[in-house]
Amino acid sequence: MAAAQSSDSDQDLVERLKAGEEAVFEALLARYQGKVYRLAMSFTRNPEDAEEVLQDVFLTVYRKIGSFDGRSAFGTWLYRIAVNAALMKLRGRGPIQESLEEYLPQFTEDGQHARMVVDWTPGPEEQLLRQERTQVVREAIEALPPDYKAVLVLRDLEGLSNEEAAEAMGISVLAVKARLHRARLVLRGKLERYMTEPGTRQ
Amino acid sequence: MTFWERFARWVRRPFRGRRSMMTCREQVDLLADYLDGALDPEVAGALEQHLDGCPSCLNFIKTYKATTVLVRDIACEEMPEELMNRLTSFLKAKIRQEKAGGDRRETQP
Repeated sequence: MAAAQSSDSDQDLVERLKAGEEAVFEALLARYQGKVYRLAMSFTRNPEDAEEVLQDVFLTVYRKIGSFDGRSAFGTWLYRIAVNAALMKLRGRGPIQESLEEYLPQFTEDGQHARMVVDWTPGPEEQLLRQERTQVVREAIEALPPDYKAVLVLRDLEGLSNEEAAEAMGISVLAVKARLHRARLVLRGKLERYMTEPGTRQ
Repeated sequence: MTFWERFARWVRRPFRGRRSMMTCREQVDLLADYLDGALDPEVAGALEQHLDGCPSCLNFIKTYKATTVLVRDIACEEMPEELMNRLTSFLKAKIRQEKAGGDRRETQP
């Protein structure tokens, strides 16, 4: 029984695992655990939750590899399992209390901006605040409802396309686009408040 | 609505029906597709024309785009080696346990 090589394709490894060569499971684990960890941390921002997600995901892979039919790539299949597991963790935390409406742009009856929008994008002198701002962005993402957060993480953080995010979440491309846009609007509104109302800076 | 608001609406009225006069709300609704380059060229043109004459929307699109960049900037730390080891041990133990359970089940009549 040859050990798994880094040059072996996922497909080879999956076939060998299905045929009962269990040693290759560790190769798949080594190949994908970092990616699943990053995803789980982005979703949950909590090391214990991320660890449980990792355990769930790879146990599911081990248990269900027999039913993986190879119609999609192994990576896509695993990603979908990971997104589901991370979403379950988030949903388990209960509903988000905060109202999102107040962060969405407001318009007049005839569709104009209800108030002047300012440009708060940082200039060079703002670089000092980078660390602080990262924290604000993290907290703002944290406060999004799970489904919005998932789409935002997959598209804007992980860099998936609309189609890939739709596949990973098992929803339509249209739903991905709608949630992504709304999540970005809420986040933008929160950052605007943080950047333009000095009182909110801690 | 005050007299002046009604007056302002009345003044803007002739422009509202024109194709190129996209409203701010419409502009905001189209932003994601616009940034993806997924808009029909004619619609993208109307959006850009609107941006030319609307400082608020110009600032809105700048800050919307900046938001996506800020999200991308959140670097996630690498998976700690300690966690990798713990995960491997957990999975090995669990799989061993399941197989033992499975074997027992198989031997039952």
